[in-house]
Amino acid sequence: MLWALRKSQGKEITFIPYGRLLSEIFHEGGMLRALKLSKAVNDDQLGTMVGKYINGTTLYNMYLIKEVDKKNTDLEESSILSNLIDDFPPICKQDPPHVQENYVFEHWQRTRETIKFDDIPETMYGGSLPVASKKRKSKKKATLEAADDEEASEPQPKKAKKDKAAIQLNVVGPALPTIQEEVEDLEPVKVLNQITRGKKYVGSSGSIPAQPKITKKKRIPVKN
Amino acid sequence: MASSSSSNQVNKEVSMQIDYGESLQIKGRTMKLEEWKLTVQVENPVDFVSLTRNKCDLTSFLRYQDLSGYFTMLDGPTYENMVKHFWVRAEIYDKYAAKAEKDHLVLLDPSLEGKPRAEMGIKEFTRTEIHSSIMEIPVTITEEVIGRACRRNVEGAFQWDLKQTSSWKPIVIQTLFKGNAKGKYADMEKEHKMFQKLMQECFIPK
Repeated sequence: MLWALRKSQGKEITFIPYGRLLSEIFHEGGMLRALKLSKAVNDDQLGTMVGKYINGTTLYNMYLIKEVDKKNTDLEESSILSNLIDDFPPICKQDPPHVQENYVFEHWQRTRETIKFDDIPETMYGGSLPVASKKRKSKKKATLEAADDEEASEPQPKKAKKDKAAIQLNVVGPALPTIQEEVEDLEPVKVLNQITRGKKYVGSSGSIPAQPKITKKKRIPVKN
Repeated sequence: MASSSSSNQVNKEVSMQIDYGESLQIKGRTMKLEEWKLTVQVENPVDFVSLTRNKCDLTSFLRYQDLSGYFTMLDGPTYENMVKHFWVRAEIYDKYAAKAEKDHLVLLDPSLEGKPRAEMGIKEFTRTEIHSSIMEIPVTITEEVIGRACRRNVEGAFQWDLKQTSSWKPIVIQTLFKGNAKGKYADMEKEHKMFQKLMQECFIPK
């Protein structure tokens, strides 16, 4: 941890190791209890997530076994609850009936307390926590996702082509004068004194200023 | 389910050394990295029952190394934003930091030179600590705190940077590759491959 902290301070690495261990230290130190009492934060704000279980499926993915022996009693990521929740049964009415029955029976065997059917919530509290993924998002994908999120948050209705054309006409209309307006604005003095791009005067010869005389330079013979 | 019950038990048994209750302090960042640039690595929890059912029994390893408490601790949530908040404000208080603290005081008041730390108004350096704060609540993490969070004693041995001439090398080769010095990962047994996986996913920073 010290090694990683020194490296982080030197901007050499950008990962934080032992996320779960640090979270447990915060939890046992009473930090989460204080936050829970204040009700100032929730799991979304804390960025609560869980690690992926290493189990029989991992063995299969590592090509160490050919078939996986799964059971309902296997631990799953969804069974991990946030420490912000107290005494909340990790089952809901959306679970299969036999799962609910098993849990209620096990709970009774363990604590001699009965969980009534009405006490089982309709859905899990806040849903199951997100699983931490090691896959790194590429920058392109991340920007695309961000753009999608922005679009999703601020949906803009598509404009019909006709509307666009109408808008363009409206924009063009007042900007460009009509022929009648141009004719009304035509004043000979203004027009005649206009200078073209080539700095040539246009109009009657009377209005042209006198051209300055260009003196010819005498060639001086070069002596070798 | 397992995590909440186990953590409650531990709460009753031990009290962590997070020093809150003291006066709140506003602690600045100790690194230039922004929080959104950091990635929190989450240790993976392990279902040893499922592994045993699939013919990979590692429970004897757990008993021998006294790591069952550690793996029980892994069955819990990680608070990513809280960890990042802690990390960017963390600083290491080791013997060098303690000496720098003392030198700084001497620089401010040269008459303190040569006096013990207690007389200078600073506490004695006894152990390396990580100091940080979360929401202005000071947090101090020591080896003891980590040991308690891992539910095991603060003791153990490890070998760092093994050399080719190490006496451990023949034992490692015999155990992993059955004496074949040119053995590869593919030659390892299922349990050893799984040990390697556990080391990468649960112990050593990647």
